[in-house]
Amino acid sequence: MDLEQFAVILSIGLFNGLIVALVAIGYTLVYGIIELINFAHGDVFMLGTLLTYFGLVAILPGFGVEASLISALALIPFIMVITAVINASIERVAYRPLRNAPRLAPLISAIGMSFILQNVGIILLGPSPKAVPSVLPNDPLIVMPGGRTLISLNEVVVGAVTIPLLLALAYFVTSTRQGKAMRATAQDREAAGLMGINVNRTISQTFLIGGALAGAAGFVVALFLGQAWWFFGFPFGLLAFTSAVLGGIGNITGAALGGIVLGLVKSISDFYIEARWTNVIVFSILIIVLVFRPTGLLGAKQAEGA
Amino acid sequence: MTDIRPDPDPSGPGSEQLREAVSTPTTGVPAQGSDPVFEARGVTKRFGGLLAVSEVDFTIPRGAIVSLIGPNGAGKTTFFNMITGLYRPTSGQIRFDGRDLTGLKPHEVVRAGIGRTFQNIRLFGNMSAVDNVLVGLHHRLKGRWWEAILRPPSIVAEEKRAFDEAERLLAFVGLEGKTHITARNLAYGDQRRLEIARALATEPKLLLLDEPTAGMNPEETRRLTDFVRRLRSDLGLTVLLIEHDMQVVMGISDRVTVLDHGERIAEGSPDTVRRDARVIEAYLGSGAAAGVGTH
Repeated sequence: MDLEQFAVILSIGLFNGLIVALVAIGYTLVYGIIELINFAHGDVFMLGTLLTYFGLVAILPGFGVEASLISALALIPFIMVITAVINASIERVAYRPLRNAPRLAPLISAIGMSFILQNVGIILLGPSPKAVPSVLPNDPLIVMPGGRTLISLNEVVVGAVTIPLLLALAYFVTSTRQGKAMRATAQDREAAGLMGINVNRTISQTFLIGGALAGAAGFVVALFLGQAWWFFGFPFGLLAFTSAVLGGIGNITGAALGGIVLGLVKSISDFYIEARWTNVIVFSILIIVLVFRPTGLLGAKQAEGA
Repeated sequence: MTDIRPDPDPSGPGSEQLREAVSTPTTGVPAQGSDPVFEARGVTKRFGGLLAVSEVDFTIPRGAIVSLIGPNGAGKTTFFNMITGLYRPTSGQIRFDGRDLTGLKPHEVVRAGIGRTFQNIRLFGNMSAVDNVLVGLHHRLKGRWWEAILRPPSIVAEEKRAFDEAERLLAFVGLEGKTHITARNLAYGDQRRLEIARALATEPKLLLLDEPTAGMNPEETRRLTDFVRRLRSDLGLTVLLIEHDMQVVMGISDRVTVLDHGERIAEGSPDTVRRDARVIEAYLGSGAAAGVGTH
């Protein structure tokens, strides 16, 4: 076995996994707090790729700025704010009115929101993938003795965007007063309200955070793959959702771990087996894990019913 | 279990509430009667065809310890849930401290000054003891989320004050040294204390205790009863209890209100209520009243 090649595959898997983790956290945060699988989340991520595309081909040139790595990075905060607001608005419009309805109702409205966002994507981007200007330098950064590139500059950019966000999120949730309010609301919404926490505001904040992370992930993917496509929400959303379930839905560390594990599995399977078998492998692993650990890898206790 | 004792250092920084309480102790029973802090008028709750609470009038004098009793299904918990904003009354009005609370959301009721504990303990089990108390303090803090991440000195100071006050409250209920223990790993009695600390953190003027002695042995019950008296004498709180243990009710209450089938059937001092024929009937069934009521 070619160890250098294996190292390269692991490195690819790791960076892909970091991106998936950002999206997976959005699923798990929302599930944790309102026990809803937000099917529109993948499409909010897709809007992140869309916004990156328009930022680079229309907005930056409109201001007379050349599309470069630096100017692209300057777009990130704007993209995150927009996807955050979109995600929170979806909750306000499509989920909050159904908060006390049977669980199937918000699930269906989530699927509906997903279709709406996909169609927004088709209208704005057209049916086929759009090429995003390539601003990511692909220069090798760490080259192994055998001549293969272990880490290239574009992967460093991926890491530089994703890792600080993951750490900031972990800090936010565990250590800040708003994070504590989120955890309390996730554990017992009613009791949290009775302890003075504004539950609606806390739920909105959760959607804001999930949307912002999805926007950042969309940005990274648009640059990394060089494409923006209305259909991106589905494959990435599915993988991210699977990661969240694999790690233990509702558990943030689990979602990040699940994302990285699936990123690695995907790249190993893509290379050593065949890309078209990758989904089979990914879901077989999911099924096996769930059979033996129904609550996922980090086995969060099943959230109590509302 | 350690004794519940007051804060040993009332002069330290932090809790205004506790400092105030310890430095100006209101020993004995505060003046009562003419000044109701809480008033429910004609409060009714219907669930479809079921009349859970019917036209209940209910007042709590400031500084009093009042019990709400009644057989299972009498509507006590429904009444509690209307006070705390979980249910909106079908009709009637709830006033607290000069404000109309009817139809407010739970967190708004808390901010108006009503805190509560739960019959079946509802701590945030995955969080540490101090984090549970900090959740109770949440609404009294001002830091915004970006400040929480950027950490200007003001937020660092606020978090420090909040943490100190949380520790102070833990000590007040007798949980010193258990700051960082995950709530669900605490002993049962300690979980009950933590619920009270968390409720006190919301800075209530009126504290609702839902069956605080449920599952306690006689010794724990006695300590808790003393502790409830201290809530009034040290912190100046008004207390409303739902309680099944009649010894506790009769020993601690200034006033007792009895609900049965959603209606208020009696109200008055423990002695009056104990002798009330309708109360005896509600608890023991019709026919018993004649025999028992004459004691």
